[in-house]
Amino acid sequence: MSRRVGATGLPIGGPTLLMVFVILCINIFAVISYMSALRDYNLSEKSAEMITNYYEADTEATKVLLDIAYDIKMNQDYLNKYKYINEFSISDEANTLTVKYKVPIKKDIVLSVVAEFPKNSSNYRILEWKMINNKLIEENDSVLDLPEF
Amino acid sequence: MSILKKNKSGIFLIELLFVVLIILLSITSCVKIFFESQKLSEQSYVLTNAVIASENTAQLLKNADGSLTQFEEYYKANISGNIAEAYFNDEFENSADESNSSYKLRVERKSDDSGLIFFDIIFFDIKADNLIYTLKTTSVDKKEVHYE
Repeated sequence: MSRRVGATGLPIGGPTLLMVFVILCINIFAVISYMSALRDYNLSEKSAEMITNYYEADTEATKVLLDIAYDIKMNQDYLNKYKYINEFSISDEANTLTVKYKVPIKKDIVLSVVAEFPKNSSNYRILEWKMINNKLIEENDSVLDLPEF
Repeated sequence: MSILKKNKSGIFLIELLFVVLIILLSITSCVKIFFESQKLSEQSYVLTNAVIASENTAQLLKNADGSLTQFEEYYKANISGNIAEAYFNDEFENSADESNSSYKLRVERKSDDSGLIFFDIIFFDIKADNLIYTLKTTSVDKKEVHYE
């Protein structure tokens, strides 16, 4: 086996080259394993955060809905009271009040609520209670351009 | 000739020792990284399962119009007053008693005059005495709500 001695006086041969290869492999696998675990953990945390935010928005939306139901029942001023809420609107058509509003969940994601209140009944009916991603719709209109058959 | 051979073997041995030493040092640090990865994976497994159980509970409570009975039936929970507790083992399988359990799901129920019932869903690690996840949700009390 040929053996060279470098400027440092240390011998460099087959075992050294093998060592470099083994160390590189072990280190690369260790880093890949750590990064994969970290990515999984971050994903779990994001998912947990999203669910927490959704239920906070759900609570807020439920509170608003009950308040509106109470105000309509008691004939209180509900037209101006809820202006602070995102995209709040009330339409009065054929003895039915239709209420629409959105509660933010996270940046660009909102909980959209549509409910109708028949004037001759104390009950209400939820027509829509769903999560909407505003960013997707605003930035890429073509997403919704489906072919018509 | 024999002196040259002796010198070559000596240099080879030194190189081998040097290589073994560096590989050992490298493996020590890599094993540390592998253990950290394992720990992170376990944490993410626990958090994911805690979130799933908490969300299931929230949906059960909403579906039951704020009553704890569905939660009690589904998770074999113990109810005392406005507090219900369910237990899970290491594999996140539901268990009836606390002694063989590793995790605890606690539901605290509060109500107000507006007709809303508030729930605090808390997921604990019993062994580590550690809070893993909390979720707050509400349910409407005895209202006739029609979903379409």
